[in-house]
Amino acid sequence: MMSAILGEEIKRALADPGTVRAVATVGKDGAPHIAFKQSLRLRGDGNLEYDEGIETSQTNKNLVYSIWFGKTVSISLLTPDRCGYNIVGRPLRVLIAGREFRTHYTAAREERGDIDLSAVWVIEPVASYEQSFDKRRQEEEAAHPLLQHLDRLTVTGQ
Amino acid sequence: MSNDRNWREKERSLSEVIRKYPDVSPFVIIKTDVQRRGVLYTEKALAAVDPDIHLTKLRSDYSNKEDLTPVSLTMRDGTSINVGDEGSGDAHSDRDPYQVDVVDGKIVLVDEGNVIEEVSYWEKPDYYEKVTSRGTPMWHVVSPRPQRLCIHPHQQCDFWKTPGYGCKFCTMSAVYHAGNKPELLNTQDIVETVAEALKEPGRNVNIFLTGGTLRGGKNFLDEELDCYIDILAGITRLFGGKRFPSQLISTAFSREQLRRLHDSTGLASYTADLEVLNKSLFEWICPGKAATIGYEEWKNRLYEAVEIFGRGNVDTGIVAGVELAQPNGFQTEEEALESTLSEADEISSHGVGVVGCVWKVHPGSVFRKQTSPSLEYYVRLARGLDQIRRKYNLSIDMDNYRRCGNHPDTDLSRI
Repeated sequence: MMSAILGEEIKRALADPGTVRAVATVGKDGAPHIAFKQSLRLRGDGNLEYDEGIETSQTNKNLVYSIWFGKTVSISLLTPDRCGYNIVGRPLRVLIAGREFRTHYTAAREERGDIDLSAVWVIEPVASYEQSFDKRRQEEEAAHPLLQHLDRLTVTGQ
Repeated sequence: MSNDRNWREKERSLSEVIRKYPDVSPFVIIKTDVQRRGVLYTEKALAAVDPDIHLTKLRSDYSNKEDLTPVSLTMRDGTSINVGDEGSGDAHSDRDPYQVDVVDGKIVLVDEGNVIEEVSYWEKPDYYEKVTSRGTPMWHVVSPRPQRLCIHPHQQCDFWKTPGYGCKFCTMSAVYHAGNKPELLNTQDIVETVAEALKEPGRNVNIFLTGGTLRGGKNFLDEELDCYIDILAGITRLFGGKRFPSQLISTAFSREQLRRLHDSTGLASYTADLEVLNKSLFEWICPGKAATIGYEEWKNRLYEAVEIFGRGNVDTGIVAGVELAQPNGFQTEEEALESTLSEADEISSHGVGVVGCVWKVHPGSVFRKQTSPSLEYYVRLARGLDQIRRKYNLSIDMDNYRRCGNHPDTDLSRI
């Protein structure tokens, strides 16, 4: 199910350490918030996960709000070759203790030194699409041919 | 079975309360109701327990269990549900308990055949099967919550030694007399166990101490103070003498005692539980505390603790719902709510946080035949306590959702 939502290109993007990963969330005041989460990765079960290092970060609060009230979050990926992807996700669970959390905690500290780890958020992808400009422009012109400037379309205007 | 077969007809259901309070986390509402009503495990749920992984046996101030039922549960949002300290199911006879079952491979809460929410079992810490150099099993000495180490050095309470002095909701003395626990734990055992427990990476965020009152000493409560200082001094050395995330719930110490506690240990936060926010109900429900310290002096000592430990590092716990115990409690939930929140506001204005525990009616307590309030009451109270702390910009980091886990109001402070 998950593999159908996340295509091979997105999986490749997630596997590429050069890909920029941003998580957009909304909290109880309705204000959108975007944060870069380079630890965002694909889990073996097809869900996504990322390490949250700061308990009182706005993203952490907004994800708690989202899991409480059934809200979705938006994840954007930008690969080194400028391909963009968007994933709509639903917070599924948060790991704050236990064997699985400990594995992440230990790995994060081995990789990044003396840091703390507050939580590991597990996010279920519910939709995804490519967001690269060329791809989106082609889709737009095919789906909405009336939404273009005329000067681009005349024989002499190009 | 519940005491009252028709209890469901007399109060709003879980789903009705969730719909009526759309600004309150459904997770916190579910947790509150599960703590209020307790749980029973199905055979499938018990088959999912792995005693090598999950926490089953527990010895603490309110528990002495060695069966293979899980100690307690965690929800998908990280919220703890404290259902097991006093034994599950049977202890909650005022309403039908929830079932913990396995459906589609997931451990879930079930009520009247409906799956409510997925849960998981608390896990056992690394130190649990080890013994101290004195040969004491470490699980007899320190009891774990998912992220907290709990130390209960005095497992009986001196107030229960004077007839009529014990708190009426409390089962500490009944649990003590039912088991084979020592009255006082050995300090060396405690410090060794904590040292061992701290080796586990990514588990513990707080060290917590509490126990029954010790009245003796040169001054009233000096014996209790010396007991805690002795233990805390040993633990403080594990942190190089620095202050560390920790909480003590004690009988309310005097200013001089609080100063000595603060200055001679690395303790970071302090709690003295008022239990009920009403002077006359305090005198009825907590007669020992009332006779020896008194309601107003207890509050004064909390305010003095703020001067010593700092704002945001002092709170007081209430056994939410006992204010409705009969015959002396409030007659209506509306009246109880208004009075309790008003007094919580006054106390919080002095920099003391107020946190509520969900009152469970236990067979071993004087209040064993009482009935706890409706779920809606608890939701309104939790929301009110959270709002009061926000009004006074009072941090509750010291007692947040990762620590005790029995405060629906501090769960709400997560967002």
